[in-house]
Amino acid sequence: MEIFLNVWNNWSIYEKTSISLILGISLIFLIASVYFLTKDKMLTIWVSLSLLSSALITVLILWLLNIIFDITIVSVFIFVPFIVLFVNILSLGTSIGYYMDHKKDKNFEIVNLKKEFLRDSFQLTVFIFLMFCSLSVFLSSTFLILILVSGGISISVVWINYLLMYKLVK
Amino acid sequence: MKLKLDINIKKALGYLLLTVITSLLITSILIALPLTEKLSSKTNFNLNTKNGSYWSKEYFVKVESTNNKDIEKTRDIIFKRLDSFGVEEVSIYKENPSESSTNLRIVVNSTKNEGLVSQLIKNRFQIAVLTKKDEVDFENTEDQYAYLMPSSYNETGWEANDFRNIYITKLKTNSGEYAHFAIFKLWPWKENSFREFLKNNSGKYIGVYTDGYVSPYQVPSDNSSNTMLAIPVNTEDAEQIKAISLLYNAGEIPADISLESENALTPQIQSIDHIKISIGLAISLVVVYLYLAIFKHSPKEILLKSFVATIFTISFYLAGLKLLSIPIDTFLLPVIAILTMILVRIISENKDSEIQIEVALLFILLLASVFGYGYLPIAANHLIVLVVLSKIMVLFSSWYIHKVRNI
Repeated sequence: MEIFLNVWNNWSIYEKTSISLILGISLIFLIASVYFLTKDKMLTIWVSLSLLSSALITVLILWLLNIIFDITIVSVFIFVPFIVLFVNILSLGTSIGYYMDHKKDKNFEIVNLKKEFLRDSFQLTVFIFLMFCSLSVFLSSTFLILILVSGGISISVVWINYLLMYKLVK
Repeated sequence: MKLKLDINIKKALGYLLLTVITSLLITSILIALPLTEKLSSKTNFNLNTKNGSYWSKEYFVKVESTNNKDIEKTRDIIFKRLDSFGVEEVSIYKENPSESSTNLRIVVNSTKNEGLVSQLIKNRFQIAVLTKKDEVDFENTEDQYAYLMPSSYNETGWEANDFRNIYITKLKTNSGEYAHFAIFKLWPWKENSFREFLKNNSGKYIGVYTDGYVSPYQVPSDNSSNTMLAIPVNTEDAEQIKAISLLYNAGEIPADISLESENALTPQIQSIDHIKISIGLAISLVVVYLYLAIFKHSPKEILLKSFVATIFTISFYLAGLKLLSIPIDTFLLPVIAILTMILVRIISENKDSEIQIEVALLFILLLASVFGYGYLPIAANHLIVLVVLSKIMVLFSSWYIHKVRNI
């Protein structure tokens, strides 16, 4: 809990407001956009849960890094949630785009969407894994941890998205 | 015998255009390569890295208050000043308060002008409009600095919160030249009162008090409709003007502050060998695409398009950074490059999702650019350029591959 207390005590109101505004407006914009574009309740719930779960996982992993591995979460770790959000938008965007393009097709079924998403998720995972690993070879200390954590959380988020879609979107 | 030339002009021009474009592409790739700067001493193709420009200091500022609200507001205003000035890393810690004061420890890691950063931290910049005391004579040679001293003026009650904004701009002086002035813009409901105040002081000296000194201003005699108070800013340096504007507009620090001490620190920068990483990323990119091609995860057409688009995007971006000498933090480069590579791959593969992904990313990046602090807006600005460039290069690479194939 110390990490959260430190953030609360040491961050100024300006910093707290900035981050809250960016993440809050992003969340609202993405969820509202999906709802208005797809008009599908389950897809909107899927996107909302995906974004919330990615936020929770990011906070959880950073907290565990601090308490288990005694790693100081310095200011550059602010990039982790944004890298994860970037990758999450790519992951979610591929499905939303596919759905919007094919929903009026005669033979369109949700199974096709899931198959397409599985294929995209696999390709995205391979790409993220290889690129982040290659970068990690040349790094050390804080930046290495940042890259490994960002890559790991991004890949987890992609597969959590698939799991959520598999369970929720029917 | 007549010689008849049968040239297809359109095709010839097409080949010429393709040749010129290919030359430009090869040139940008060569400029973007990590060790190009070593090829020629005549032209500088160095990446303008900020690594060597960083300095770090800790400042101990005493705030004459123990009220938590005052301390938080002071911390907020100092952070806002430094962030708006472009200071890359700022951390402000509250130290244990004494009976009447609280210390703030401000740690700064930046490439910005050290002197100006120090001014932004140590100056309270409390503003008040004063009127000259009748008995004071500015022409008195025995007291040459009377016009600067607050003791030569009376309080009027006009303070910083009466002005919605203090805008620094160039105005024409009496001599016909242009100089910078700080224009005090009032809230609409205060304008009439201030106009009355200026009318009552027509032809007289008033002054703007800031932190122990006064900037005098002689109200024009014919001031019946004017609510403008314009104080000269005695500098033409853009950075100094920015700092002064921030001191005026970042907010009113509620308690007196003073700089107790400052200590130089070792800059905490995330320095990386960008040459090794560039080579590593290039190798990884080739390996990834070979893997995708060999295991047929994607059609060869799309793989070729996305590979070519990635090379063009990254090359143009790096060439642009080098030619325009845009300063960059090297640790941001690999993160930005990887995210761009992933983006190009996704939008090449999923044409049906291109618009949605790009609009969403641009929106989030714009938010980060506007509301972010520290390195976040810096990274966001670079990514915005790359998202736009990626889109252009994906379209361009399709056209280019098609044209080259049809030669």
